[in-house]
Amino acid sequence: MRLMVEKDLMKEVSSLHTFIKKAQKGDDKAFLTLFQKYEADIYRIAFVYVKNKSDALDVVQETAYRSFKKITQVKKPEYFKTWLLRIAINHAMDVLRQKSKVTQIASKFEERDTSQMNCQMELKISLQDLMNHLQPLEKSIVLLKIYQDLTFNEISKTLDMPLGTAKTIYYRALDRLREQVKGGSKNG
Amino acid sequence: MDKNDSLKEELKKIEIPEELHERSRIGIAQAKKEMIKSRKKINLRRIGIVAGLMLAFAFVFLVLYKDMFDVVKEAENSPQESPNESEALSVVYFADYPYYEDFQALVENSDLIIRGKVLDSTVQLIDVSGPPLTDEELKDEKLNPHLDGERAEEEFIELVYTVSELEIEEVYKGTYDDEIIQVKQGGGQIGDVLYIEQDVEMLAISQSYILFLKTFDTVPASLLNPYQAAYVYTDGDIESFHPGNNISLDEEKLQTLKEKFQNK
Repeated sequence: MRLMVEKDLMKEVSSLHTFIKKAQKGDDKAFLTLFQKYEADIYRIAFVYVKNKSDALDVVQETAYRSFKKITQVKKPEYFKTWLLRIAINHAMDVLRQKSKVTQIASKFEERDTSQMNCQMELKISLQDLMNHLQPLEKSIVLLKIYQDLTFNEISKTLDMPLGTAKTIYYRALDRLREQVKGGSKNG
Repeated sequence: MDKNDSLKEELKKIEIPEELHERSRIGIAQAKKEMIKSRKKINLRRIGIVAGLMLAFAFVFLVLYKDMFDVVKEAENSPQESPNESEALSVVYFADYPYYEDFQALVENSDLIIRGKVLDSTVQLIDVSGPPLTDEELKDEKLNPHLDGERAEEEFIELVYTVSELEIEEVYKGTYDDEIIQVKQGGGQIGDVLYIEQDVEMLAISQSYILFLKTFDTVPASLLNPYQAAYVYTDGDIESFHPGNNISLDEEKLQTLKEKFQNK
């Protein structure tokens, strides 16, 4: 069974490689085929940031534009999806900045010992909590971790930050959401 | 349902608008349009190396308003000269190669598999037209990928190659009598023109590699393709030379090869 999964995975990577190679040679149809595999995920992630259909569609279009122009930068097909998501997230954050709806987050993050944290905490995160109570970078990490099932290692590469920082922000975001949920319960 | 699943479910409820595909298409089309407009280097995809180089020379002519034949002549007279690369005019072209599904296919298609250390390299114009393809070969997609079984006109094909000389350290498949082998890779600088074959990274001097090669009677050997046919060998460590290579290689596989082909 495991062998079959690995075989399928290798086949997928090989097919991805073929499409990326074609796209890198300027084949826009090959790139469109590739991109459409991920466009729904990109749209949904963008929507969490910009909170409306029109801006989320703009983010998808801009991501398609930027990614095709930079496709030659992709060296490892297995990172294609995280590379796309990175472009989408960066652009979604640009849109927010332009609209002045976002305050700049601190560039230095306090490292803390995540191993001591209670990872088993019960927390039911709603989409509204995620959209309304987290800062952009926290949203990125929670989305990549929970929605895209990326590992912390992959997240740190996607967002270009140290592994420890990604973990710290993730658990801090969960703490913040937990507080919101608790507060909401008390008030409700 | 755990906390992650519930969030995933909620995210999936975000409705996907009908125009999503169209917006992706528009973004890509816009990029394509700008890439074509702004491209200073000539994109010669699909039209093959030969036609590509002809266009490249035409490009040199149009940009520099020089006599094209003077450029070629000068280049032929001084193939070893390498002026500063930053001052050279770059011509980028693409070539299509067969892609191998797995290690077995890579081995089967190799005439020679060796480990060797690069001693030196030079840039040369090499006539690779070779003997005409037989009718059987014309129908072989790997040998004749773009002509759909039709015969190309007889042509003189002289291309720019970087030829590396390697000292053979080990032979895993095939036989090779000399201690030194020449391996050519597309591209290199001749005169003022730097020819770049997309995706080709040149072998480095003093580095050892494991190479999967096609050999020829009259011209230097070639890698099976630029992506899957070279591995860097450093003190027993084996690593793919091209980052996109999906075929892994280790010492055990090499030993198996050696035993298999030495027993033949």
